[in-house]
Amino acid sequence: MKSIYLCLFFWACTFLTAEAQIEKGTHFLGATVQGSGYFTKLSSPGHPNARVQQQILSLALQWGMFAKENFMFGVGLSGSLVPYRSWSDASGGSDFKQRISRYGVAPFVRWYKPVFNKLSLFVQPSIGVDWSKTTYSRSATEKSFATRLMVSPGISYRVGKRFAVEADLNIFSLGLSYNKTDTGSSFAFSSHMSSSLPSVFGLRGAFYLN
Amino acid sequence: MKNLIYIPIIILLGMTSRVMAQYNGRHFVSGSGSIGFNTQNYKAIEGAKSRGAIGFDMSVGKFVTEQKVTGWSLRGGLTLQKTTKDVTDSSIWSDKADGIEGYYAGIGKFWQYYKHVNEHWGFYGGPDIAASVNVDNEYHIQGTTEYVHTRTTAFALGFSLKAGAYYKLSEKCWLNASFAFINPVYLSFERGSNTEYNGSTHNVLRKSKIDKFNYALSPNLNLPAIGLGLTYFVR
Repeated sequence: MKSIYLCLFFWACTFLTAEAQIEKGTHFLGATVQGSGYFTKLSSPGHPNARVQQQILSLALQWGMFAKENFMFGVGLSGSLVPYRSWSDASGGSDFKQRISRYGVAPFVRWYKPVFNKLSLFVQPSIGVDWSKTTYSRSATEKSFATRLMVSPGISYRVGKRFAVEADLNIFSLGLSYNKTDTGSSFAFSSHMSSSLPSVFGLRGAFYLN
Repeated sequence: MKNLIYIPIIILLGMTSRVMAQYNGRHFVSGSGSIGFNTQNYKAIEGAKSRGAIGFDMSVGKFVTEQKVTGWSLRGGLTLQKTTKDVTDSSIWSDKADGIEGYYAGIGKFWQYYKHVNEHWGFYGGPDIAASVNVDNEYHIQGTTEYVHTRTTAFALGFSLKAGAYYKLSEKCWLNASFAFINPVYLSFERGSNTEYNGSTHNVLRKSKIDKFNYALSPNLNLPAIGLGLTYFVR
């Protein structure tokens, strides 16, 4: 494990020149998009075809402004849609639809620590509020509301003069959620803290404009 | 603490030595292979189930400039299975499940960009496009007297980005280690056929088919993802 980080360190070193500071007044725009899905068809002789499909689409945007050198405040917006449908080709056959939609707002602050010309480390505490709504074909709905406190460190790597690729990881989070269905409601509290590094990082494209 | 002093010295040495070697026009073969067996013994019933798997992953490439490589990759493999007749769980189909359980094959086109740090080692990274086919056979019991054979054929097409480092063992032989990859685009089409059999007569009772199309757009970095291989220069 150690040797990998050492390798990465060397790699970063090869681009080494002076440290680059991010100036006061710089605007920050970040975005990431993710999507996946499937379509299936089950057929057997003498029976109508059965079909299932699901899509997952999510988009996250971040805007920020540098209040002083290497310090930024900003807000993140996120949204995702998960439509699901399973139905039969037979006329008057079964048809089940479900749609989950989630929206979130998360104000944050972020401190940067430039390591090399192109590479910076950052730490980002944020407070997030999330709404989620699930609608079923029989028009039943389920709503939930959650708030969370998160601290996520990350890295930012400059590809061009203004463009950077960023990855962050969630090592600490504290959450409170409220669930409301047609039949009742519930409260939940969760906390999460981890010192281990995950092996999959979500990537974000970011612009630094001044 | 000592390491912290050595590291900048190593870097300085690395930066000052100029890259002398000529790579342009050289051809190489690179690859890795795998082989594995496992046997499960069921004491109570004196039965056993053995499985074996072999696979290879090789590529041929050419330096078209000092820093750029283009090439093709080829991979393939298969899984074999052998079950002795007394394994209760699978006794009704054991003789049918023996043999080739599954196999896969794939072909890809890749581009790599090299950063030769000094004469001994450097980094590389680049995109690749790969297509593959994967066939899998599976048997399971349904109820008490029937069993089902599921055969799945999957075709996949993917685009990925990989990064790694190399170390020269000799002029002709390099050790390479990949450490990260991203699979931003992935598409697959799967066709599965289910055949339900009567357990004692082996007659076909029912047949069904399932078609599945998958897609994924995921800008995720997988790190560390270590793979070791050898690169051999043919000329």
